[in-house]
This record gives sequence, C-alpha cells and structure tokens, in this order.
Amino acid sequence: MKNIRAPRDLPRLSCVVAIARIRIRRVLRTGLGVAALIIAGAPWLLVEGATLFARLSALAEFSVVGMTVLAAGAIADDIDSGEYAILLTHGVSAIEAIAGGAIGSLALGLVIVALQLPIALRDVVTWHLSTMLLCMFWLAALLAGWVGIMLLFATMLSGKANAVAMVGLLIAVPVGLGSGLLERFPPVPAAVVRSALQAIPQLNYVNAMFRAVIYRSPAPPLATVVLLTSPMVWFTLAALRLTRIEGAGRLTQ
Amino acid sequence: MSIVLSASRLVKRYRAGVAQWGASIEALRGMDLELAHGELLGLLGPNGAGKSTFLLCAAGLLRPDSGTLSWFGSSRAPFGRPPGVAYVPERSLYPRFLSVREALEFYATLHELSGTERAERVRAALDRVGLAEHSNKRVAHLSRGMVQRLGVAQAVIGRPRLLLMDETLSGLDPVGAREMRELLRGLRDEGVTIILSSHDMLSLEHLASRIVVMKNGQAHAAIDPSGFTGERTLVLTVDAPPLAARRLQTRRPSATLQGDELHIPLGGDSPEDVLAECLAVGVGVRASAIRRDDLEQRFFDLIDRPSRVAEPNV
Repeated sequence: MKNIRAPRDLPRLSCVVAIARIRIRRVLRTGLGVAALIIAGAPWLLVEGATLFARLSALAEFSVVGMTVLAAGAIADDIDSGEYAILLTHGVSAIEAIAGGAIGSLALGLVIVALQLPIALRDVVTWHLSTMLLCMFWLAALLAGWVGIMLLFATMLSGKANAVAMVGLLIAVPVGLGSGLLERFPPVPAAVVRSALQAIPQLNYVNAMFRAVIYRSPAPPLATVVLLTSPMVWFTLAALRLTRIEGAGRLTQ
Repeated sequence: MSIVLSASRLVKRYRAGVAQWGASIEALRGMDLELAHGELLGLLGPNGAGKSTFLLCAAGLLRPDSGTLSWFGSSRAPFGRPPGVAYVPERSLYPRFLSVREALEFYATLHELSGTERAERVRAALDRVGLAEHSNKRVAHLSRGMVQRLGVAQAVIGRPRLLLMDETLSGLDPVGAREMRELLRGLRDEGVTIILSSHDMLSLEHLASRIVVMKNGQAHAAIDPSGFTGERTLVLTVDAPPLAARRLQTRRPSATLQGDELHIPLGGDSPEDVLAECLAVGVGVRASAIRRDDLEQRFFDLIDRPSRVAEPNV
C-alpha cells in the first residue's frame, strides 16, 4: 500500500493570498475595523509636540496593540469555528493557512502604521527619510515577530484566550524583565525565564533600535538578533504546531 | 469493483476535559467499513454512536488513535490529507461575513482554477444547489437549510471523488429535502461516491444503496434498503403461544410463531378484522402491535437488541 503525500510540498501563493484577503475582509466587515481605527487615531491626540523618538515609540506601541486587537482572536477563531477544517478539505496545507493568516495580519498592522505615519513624519526634513525608513524596517520586524507569536498561541489557545494571552504578554514582558521580579527567583529558574522573555520581540527592543538609528548610537545586539530572527522562528514553530494538530480537533471538544 | 474508502479497526478517543483529567471518551471503538466506487452509503445510528467522528476521520480532519484508513487504495502520510475527498459539515463552518458567492469564489480559488473556470464552477454550484438567487446573501443570514446547500456547493466545487456528508438533510423543508435527494442522486450518477449520515430514514431508504447502522462506535449492522417490502405485520403477545399459533394457522396459514409472539402478515386486511378472527378461534390476546417492513422498524430492532459492546467508560 503506497502512501499518499500531502497534496503539495510548496505553499501555493494563490492560496496564501486568498486566505490573507479573507482575514482582511473579516476585519473590514466586522467591528474589529472600528476598534483598529480608534487605536490608530489615539496617537494623533497623545503625542502632539513630542520628539521624533517619542512619536515613533508611540507609533510602535499603538501598532502592536492594534494588531493584537485585530488579529489575535481572529486567528484562533478560524481554528475554533471550523473554517480552518474546511480549508484543509480543499487541499490547503497548514503552512498555507498560517502564512495567509500571517500576511493578512501583517497587512492590517501595516495599515495601522500607515494611518499613524503622518504624525510620526510631521516636521521630518528630507534627509531624515532614510532614518525613517530604517525605523519602519525595525517596526515591521517587531510586528512580524509579534504575529508569529500570535499564530503559535492560536494553535494552542481558543480565540478569546489567545487575545487575553497576547495582551497579558504585552504587559508581562516589561514587568518580568524590568521590575526586578526575577531577582527574587532562584538563579536557574530566573535565568530560564529571563531567556524566554528576552526571546520575545518586544517594544523595548524596537525602541532601542529607534534610539540607535535616530541618535546614531550602537545597536544593541540582543534586540537586533531577536528582531531579525523572531519572525521566522515563531512562524516556523507555529507552522509545525499547526501541522500536528487535528483539523477538527477543537470542533469536537 | 474499486474500493474508495477502507476503515479497519478504527479507534478514536477524546479527552474528557479538565474536570475529568486523564479520562477519555471512546467515540470509535473498532470501526470497520469498506466503500466501493459509486456507492451511496447511509450512516444511521443514535446520537453518540460515532457517525460524525467517523466522517471527520474519513475526511482526514481527525487522526484515529489506532486502526487504518485508506482512500482509493492508499493510506495517507502521517500529516497529509486525502485528496479528492470533500466534507459537508453538520453546521456552518464557513466565513460568516462573506456572501454566498464570495465564499464559493474563495473555495474555488483554493483549487487553483483559472478565472473563467472558477466563475463557471461557482455558477454551476450555485445553480446546482438552488442558491443562485441568494448568492448575495451573507452566510451569517442564511437559514439552516441554505447553510446545508452552501455546504454541498463548497464541497462539489473541487469536483471530489468521495463526498462525506454529516446530517446534510436535517433542517431542510420537504421541498428542500426532495431537491437535496435529487442532487445527491445526480452526484451519485456522475460517479461520486457518497457517505451520508442522517436520521432521515425515509430519505436514506430511498437514496442509499447500503445502510450501515452504527452503535457504540462500531458498525453494528448493514442493511440492504432494496429488500424492504413495506408490508405490515400484526404482532400479538398471546396466552399459550404454541396452541394459539396452531389455532390461528387453521384460518391464517401465513401466521408464524416467533419466540412468544404471533406474527400475522396483514396483506390487505385491517388489523381489527384479524384481531376479531383471533378472538373467534379462541386466541387470548394480551397485547398487539403493528410492524412495517421498513428501515425504521429494522433500525429499532437492531438498536434495541443488546449490544456485545460494553457502554463507554468516561
């Protein structure tokens, strides 16, 4: 008896794009779009007259929060609602599904960035454009890494739990690394937790990169490595995990 | 005859949840089934018999804990899914914010069709299931019957060889149910092999070439629906059954004694007339019932019979 291989080995671009488009449509046609607009508009009111670094920092913060609101629950909802299961019956692979979800979420994140960009760019002289582009690159890396984590969590948690977990993570990382909490732990567990928290792409890292770009200071190596590698690392882990879970597993729970 | 689907000793367990940590529910307990090309197989069984779980395994959406499944003569790779198999779920698993047409276009896109062919297949699917006039309606606003039609439309858009349908006839009005039966006949005539899980026995009796009754996660019995005569039989519980049988057989030779019951084919007679005859020959009737030789009666006979399988342990 010969084995049938999975329908295709390489992800099909048309499938990935179609799934990404569905994710964007979901946001546009549900209340999530309004939430995103409010989040994208907030920095316009909050950072009036601030320095370029402060404006970029606010831009990053609101973009991450906005993308979490838009995508965290929705990605897991696809699995919970059975939409993912139906995709599988149409020959879609786990990698195509997750890549579509990632691209759709990233596109939404970039829309939020674009909506806030005018305030970040206000009064920026032309020779600062390369600086700005570099800052945007680091912001895109942060968003991509964040999407990767969201996708991984979505394969393990249901929709609402995933959204709550991502918001919790947003708070837990700076608290865990910056409050001295870990110093109260025994050294080995503290080192493990610190390493895990440091592997998460976070606002502190992108702020450090903004500072390095704007003030031409040396780039922190940890932030550079995590921001550059985390999108691929987290996406791969999410894809592996999604490949292993049953398409209708959550429907039967 | 080529085998489209073969299941052997399939076992599937679900974790019982946090409240019963470590416990599991055995939904399939050694399911065996072979399905030949062109068959329209009816799956019948009480709730919890394992029909939906079996269909999800057959669709490649659940992994059995043990046993083997093969499609078109080949077993699948550990994480691969069977090509050429489409699944119609019991409830709506489609993007609720899309219109019917948009949803079908989306599913057609996943099959890498050219723009023209995609449009043609969407149009054909809409016409086929009778949703053309509702094509601009949002999925969220569809009635249950329309959702079932959408389910069939999305399934046929990829031109499957094996169609797995879970309770697809439920929620349809009588006209819709008849149209759906016609649609399934049409698909079967085109060579699509179908498994239809349903509680609608009338439809199964008319549609299926074979009916498998599931009970306790196993294929409990197989029924040939073409063998039903629809004849009615009067079943009597009587005093002194052997004597009563001998007495009645003087008037009605077709009467038989089955256990402690007298079975009397009614033919064109009314039950009242036959009862009067029984009393006239001195048969003491304690209870009476009418049975019809149809799927419903056969199903209840099978389900009421004590199973050799123990009840599930949770």
